[in-house]
Amino acid sequence: MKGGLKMTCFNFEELISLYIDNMLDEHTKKIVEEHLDECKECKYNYDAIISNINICKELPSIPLPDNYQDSLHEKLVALQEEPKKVSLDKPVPSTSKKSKRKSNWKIYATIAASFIILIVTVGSLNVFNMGSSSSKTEMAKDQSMEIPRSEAPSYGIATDDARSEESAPELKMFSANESIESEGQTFDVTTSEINNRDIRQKQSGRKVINNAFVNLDIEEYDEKFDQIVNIISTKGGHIQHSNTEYKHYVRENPEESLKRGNLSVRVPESAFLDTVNEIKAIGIVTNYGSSGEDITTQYRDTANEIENLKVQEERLREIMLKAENVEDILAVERELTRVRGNINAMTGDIQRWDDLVELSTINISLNEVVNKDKRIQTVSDNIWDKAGKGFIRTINGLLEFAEIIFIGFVSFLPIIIITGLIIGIVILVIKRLIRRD
Amino acid sequence: MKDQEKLLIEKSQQGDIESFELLIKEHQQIAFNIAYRMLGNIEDAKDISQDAFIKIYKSLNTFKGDSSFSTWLYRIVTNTCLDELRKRKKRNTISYDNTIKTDDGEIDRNIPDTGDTPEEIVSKNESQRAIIKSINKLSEQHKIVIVLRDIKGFSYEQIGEILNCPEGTIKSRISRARIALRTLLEKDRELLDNDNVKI
Repeated sequence: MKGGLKMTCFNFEELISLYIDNMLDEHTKKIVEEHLDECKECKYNYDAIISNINICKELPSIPLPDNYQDSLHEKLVALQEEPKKVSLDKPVPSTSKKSKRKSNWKIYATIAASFIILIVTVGSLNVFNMGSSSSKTEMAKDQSMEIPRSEAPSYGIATDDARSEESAPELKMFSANESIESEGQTFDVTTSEINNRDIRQKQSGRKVINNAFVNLDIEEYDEKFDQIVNIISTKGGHIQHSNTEYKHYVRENPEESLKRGNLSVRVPESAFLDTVNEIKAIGIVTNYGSSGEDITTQYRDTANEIENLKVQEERLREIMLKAENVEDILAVERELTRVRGNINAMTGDIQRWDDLVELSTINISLNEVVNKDKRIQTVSDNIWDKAGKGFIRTINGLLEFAEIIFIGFVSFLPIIIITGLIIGIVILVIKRLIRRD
Repeated sequence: MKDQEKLLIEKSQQGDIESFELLIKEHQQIAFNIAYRMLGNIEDAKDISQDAFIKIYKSLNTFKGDSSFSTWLYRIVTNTCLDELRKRKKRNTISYDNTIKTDDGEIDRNIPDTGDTPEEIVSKNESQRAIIKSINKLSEQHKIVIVLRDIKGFSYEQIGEILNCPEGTIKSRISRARIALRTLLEKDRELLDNDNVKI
């Protein structure tokens, strides 16, 4: 035991102070004492340290300078008078705090660095994404630009047809197609109202046909579509025509497929602006336009023409009554049919105009987009698959390229041989000529 | 006693300077002496110890009472001194305690400091003067434990709390500091002997 714990002088140095301060347990103390008896050098050290400590202990405690408390008091008072200027929450300065502050700095630096990396990464990803999304929106814009041009006139035709006598059932069919029965009903009411309306009454006030088109980029196509349908129905309008298709169909994951579509809706003229604004609020407006066509003069002329034709019709009927022979009757009948036809056509125009004025047309193009800023895209499951395919594609491309080069070389080989021969012969001839000279 | 201290702390926290002065009264001289032993001259000791008391007054609200008030007070005092020493090091790469080497041997830079301060006049004792000189040459970490343990007589536990270190660290630091002090003193003594021989 004693041998095992035998002191080396190095160990002893560590234990001297503890021994002096009586901080050792009895056993170790004994060993130290034994060692001190044995080792002169350590004894010498021990004595030196003891004497040093004693000198230290005897060092006089020097009194406070005379003005110490006064000046401290002044400082404290000054501090209290301006407590705001000196930051009160200055942390207690301690070594541990210092080191903490240092380590804090390190932590902040780490956080900042990781943030920068994150931002850079996300930024570069965004550049990547934006490239594709912007091209998408451009594509979408191109498409939507075309739609109003190509479809607006066709609407004109559609409404032309619709406004003829048989329009009501046809339009009902449209609304039935949309399966919005309530709208179908409201439309019925409006058409019957228009039919019964006196043309002269309508001559007062200006006749302006309001049209607007709105192109929207939206997310959640179906949801936004329903929202538009709701707006239209609350405004007392109806959907005249709608179409939805996939613009980008993902077979593996149909939910990710993107749709586009267009709607042609009719709303009462009074609710026109409100409706347009509400629709515009649904998504990102990529294109918007509106027009107001004043048809007042045209409308009045046509109305007057109808009046005249009606008078003419009356007269013809009177003549008809007076007519005695079949030929006259036929002639009058022919004339009457022509007049009647004109009246019908013109009444049709009037009714169509009434409808156009009464119900403004809004063409809405919807384009579903995926907003990549909103959620973090998951990495495709088949990324390796895709990468593998890409790899194989590149390899195939390279092989093809090599093949083409090889084929090209082989096919040019005869020409190369022939030219080689010719050049060889020419060189030989020249050499011989030179030798002769 | 404890209750009175508590009351004084509360009053001081509310901004009562008189209470605060009463609270620190018994610690003032010790704090001043620690600063004096650490910094080596009376002017600095006065400034730094007063700075420490102002820090204590300002951060009294953060004193939670998990350690005793005196320990907390001395912690701030020692840290203020250590900060000052570090500042000095930065400000002046030439330490006061370094010596200038000349043909005749080494000359202390801080001759005026160790020369005729009032304390030095009191301690005519040559060994005391030598030990003060050596203490001033110690590294700050060794100096603080020598000052606290051997000059001011704080216990290991108290020193551990003041320096916010585990007791084990304090034990080894004190022993190393004492050995360092002894080595310095021995060198000094040899130098003195050499000087005497030359003279």
